[in-house]
Amino acid sequence: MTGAARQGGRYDVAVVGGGHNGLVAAALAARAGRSVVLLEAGERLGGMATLGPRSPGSDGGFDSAGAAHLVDGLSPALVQGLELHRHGLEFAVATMDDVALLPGGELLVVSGRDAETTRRSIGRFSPRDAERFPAFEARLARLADALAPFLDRVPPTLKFQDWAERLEYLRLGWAMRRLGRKDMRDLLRIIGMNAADLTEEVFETDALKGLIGFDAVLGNRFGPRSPNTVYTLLQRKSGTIAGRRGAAALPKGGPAALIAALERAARAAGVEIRTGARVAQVLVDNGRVNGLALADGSEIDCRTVLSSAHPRTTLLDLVGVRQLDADLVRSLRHARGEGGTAKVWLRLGAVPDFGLSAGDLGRSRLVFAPDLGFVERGHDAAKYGELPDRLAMEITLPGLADAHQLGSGQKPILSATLANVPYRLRNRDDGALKQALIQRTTAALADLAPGLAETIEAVEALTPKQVEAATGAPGGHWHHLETGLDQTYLLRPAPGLAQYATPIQGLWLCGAGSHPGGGLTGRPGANAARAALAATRARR
Amino acid sequence: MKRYDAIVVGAGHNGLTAAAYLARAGLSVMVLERRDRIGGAAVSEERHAGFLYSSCSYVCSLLRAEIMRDLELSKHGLRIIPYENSATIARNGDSIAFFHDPAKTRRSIARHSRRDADAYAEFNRDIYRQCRMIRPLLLETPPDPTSVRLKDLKGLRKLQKAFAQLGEDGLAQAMQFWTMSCGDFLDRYFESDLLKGSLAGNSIIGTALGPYSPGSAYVLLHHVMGDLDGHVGAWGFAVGGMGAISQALAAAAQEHGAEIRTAAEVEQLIVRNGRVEGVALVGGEEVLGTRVVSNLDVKRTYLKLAPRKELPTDFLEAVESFKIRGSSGKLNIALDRLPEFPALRDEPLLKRGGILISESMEYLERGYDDWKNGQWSREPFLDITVPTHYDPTMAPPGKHYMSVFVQYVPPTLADGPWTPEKRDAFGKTVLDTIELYSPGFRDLILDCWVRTPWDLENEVGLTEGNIFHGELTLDQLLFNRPIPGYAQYRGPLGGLYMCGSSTHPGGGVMGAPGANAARELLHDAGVRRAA
Repeated sequence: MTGAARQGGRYDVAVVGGGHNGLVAAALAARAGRSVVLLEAGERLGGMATLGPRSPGSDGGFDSAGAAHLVDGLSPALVQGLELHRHGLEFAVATMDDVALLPGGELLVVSGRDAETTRRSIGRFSPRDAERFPAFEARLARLADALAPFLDRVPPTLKFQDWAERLEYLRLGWAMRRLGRKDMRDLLRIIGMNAADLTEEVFETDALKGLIGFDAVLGNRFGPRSPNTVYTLLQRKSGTIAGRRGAAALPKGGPAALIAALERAARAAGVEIRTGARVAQVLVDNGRVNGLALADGSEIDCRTVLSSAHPRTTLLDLVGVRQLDADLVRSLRHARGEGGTAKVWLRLGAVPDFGLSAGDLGRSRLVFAPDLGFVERGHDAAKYGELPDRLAMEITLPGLADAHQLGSGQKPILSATLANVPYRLRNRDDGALKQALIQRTTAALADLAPGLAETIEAVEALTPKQVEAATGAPGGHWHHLETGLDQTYLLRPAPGLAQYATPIQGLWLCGAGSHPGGGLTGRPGANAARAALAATRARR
Repeated sequence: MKRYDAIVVGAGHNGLTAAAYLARAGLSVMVLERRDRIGGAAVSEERHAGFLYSSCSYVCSLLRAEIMRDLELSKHGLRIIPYENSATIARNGDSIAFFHDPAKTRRSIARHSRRDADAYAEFNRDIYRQCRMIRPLLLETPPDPTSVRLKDLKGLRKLQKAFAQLGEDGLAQAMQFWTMSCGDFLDRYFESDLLKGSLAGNSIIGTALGPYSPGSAYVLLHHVMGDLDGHVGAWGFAVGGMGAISQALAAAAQEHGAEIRTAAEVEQLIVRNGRVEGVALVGGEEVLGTRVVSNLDVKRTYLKLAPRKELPTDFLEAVESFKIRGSSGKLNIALDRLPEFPALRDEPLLKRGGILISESMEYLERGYDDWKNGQWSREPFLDITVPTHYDPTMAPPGKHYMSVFVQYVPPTLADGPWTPEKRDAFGKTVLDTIELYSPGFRDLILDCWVRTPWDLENEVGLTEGNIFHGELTLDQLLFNRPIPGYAQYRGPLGGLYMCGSSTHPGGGVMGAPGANAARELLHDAGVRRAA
């Protein structure tokens, strides 16, 4: 390599992408004593978490808004290992309440803090359901507990003859057996079921079933009647935040503050962070990594690359299909990952009237998904590329619990995450989708909160295509790839790639496309870093 | 009073299979059938003078070769003729055809897409690899993964070996196969809508899933894993209609000494001290037996026949949660002469096989959406056969019998239960659909017998009209079928067995549940298989 080509520098490890998983992987590698550079194509760190209407010129006073608004599965081991609290991570609300909004102004509250509030709220709809709810929660928590340790572990391969793999299967089998016979049977039955059937077996209240069904599908392109949505629900429940399994928390300063804490942790560990540094190619020599070529023509000299980019981007674009086996290329091309989730933000002139006090609003995750059929019909429209007339959504008003998250003029921002959004509208362009999202969201909110419409000062939206364009993740999917059973654990992102290693020696996948998937968990980044470090240690 | 070694409740094909195996092993067996005819859903019925209808099930593929051989069904008159081909026809007059000769199939697919013609060979290879893995499991009792008994551990080991045989790639494919949607699976191989529609048909027949519902790829496998004369996935026609299968099974049972009584409806089981001792018939007569085998589905068996107070509460809850969802209908049509299908003009021989109406996966998915909304598919999937091509005696000379299987049809409609008027309207939807593909078809109709899920439930006893006695989804397969912990053909009551399609490996005229249940009963009875 010539001197000029080397001006990019020489490192033990290069990390592609400055989303939260890239930051986690970089920080862990640096803490293990490696020299690390992190390369982010954009000007801003945080990937999908901080993606929002903040590009210069388009800002409608949304300076604190990002695509993510809550954190629900951040690995506790990571919070501790990277000392994120020391680096500034604080929670404004440690455990959010879930509030189901119903047409006509009724509310159903599932409190994260107070079981009695929940019992009374559900009891107003059905005393029987109020009675059953704690047992249902406990049941899901027990099953989620059994799965949770495997979120922090590298999935095994399908090579049964290998003893290390056998050990991992034994560990998995033991985790199942430790549940006891009754729960093990329960898990083996319900894991392939659909969320609608599961809730209908137990509950009669439409609002409660709608709330659970919505949580089971949010982030993926499923309806609550799609088989294996109990699995996606369990996966959601298996995360722990601020010491509580299955809860959601609001960081002080929003997810951007989490990214800032990760950035500080990474820098403190010695990571060199470069923004505006687009990687053009993974240089491969004889089947192993020999550096990175950047778009500006410079090269990074390194033998280990951790890529948090989409698996398709990493392998098909940065490496190139000629280096890869045809079956693998096909698996990657067919992995499902068209985004089905969009965002709308509203800056409001006043606190909206959802029937809750401003304090309670700030602590609540509002869900509009009044019944299972509502969510299912939304899915039915979206699967043909149509936008449902009425959108199911999750809403927060973080500024009401955390003044750092107020918009300009100290005005509250309403952040809505919309489910069942088609990746592309049939026969229409993305601009039309954006307009329709804004129009349908504001119309729905005007119905749910009287007077809200008159207080809207600014509005902004983000479509899956825009996420794709801004992050480079094809499909713009929240998890990079769907997290259904056929794309999970040792099948994620594709058979043969589930151990974070790729066929290119020294190249590792560390983004949401790997086990256990997206959401602000940091787990793919941490698992991949551990696997890569173990492998380089072994070779040293 | 005589006490039988075994009483079989219900003379469907699985009940008859179980009875034949039990009698062959030397047990005294009594089969009790509610209706005035045996066969359950495998029947041939004359409703319109001179016409014999395979009124419910209509093709044979899954019937296990082992059972044919063990019970000497050929000796008892069963003859199965493989269908020569099948075709899917499109509204625009196009078609795609499948032949025994792979070269001909290839040419037919290549007319739509060259790439798909290449991919089809690969698709077949992949799918048959999965079939080969699953087929030996059909005649096995599913092991209980929560048990540490030697028998279950051995069973699990066997299961693991079967999977391990596939190798790393095949295993990954198997895991995807059991969890993914048929739509995603087919999208991996093909681009032609009509081809994907043709193949996806197998993933939705009898099932309340759409081609894009995860889990539907397995249903596809369930339908193609049958084999006839060594042709995997081939469909066959039973001479004399599907009733001929039941007749041959009954003859085999009777030859070994089993008694069969029709018009003998069991009202309840007689249970003493947690053990079944016989059955009480409607009218009060009691039939005593050491063991009872129920051919009814798990819900009818435990919620209707068994005394509730004898059963554990969580078992009852599990039975109530078992998903049985009707989604199919059937038209039996007497025709004055053969209809014309312009799409098959160039190859009239294709009319001798199955004719599918299944334009694309979206066509099927939209049909499923109608079902979810409590409405029969406004544009239904149809599987049409004309059995009189193979057995002209099923109709008067020159006339023909046409069987039309319809998907999706809900067990109850959004605006309330089925009525005769709604049944007529449903029939009209189907006939209008056929007319689109065969102009002038209506004028040939001499008789049309429309059967909705309601009819299948009330006449044949299929709960909600589900042809598989319960959905074939992951939560209801293998050791989960019908109830986790009770997948080995036994329930909580001593001496009571299940042999219907709600047990492993599920529906289709396969006979495997009947044979498996008989094997378990004989094991408990300490009988080493005679003959």
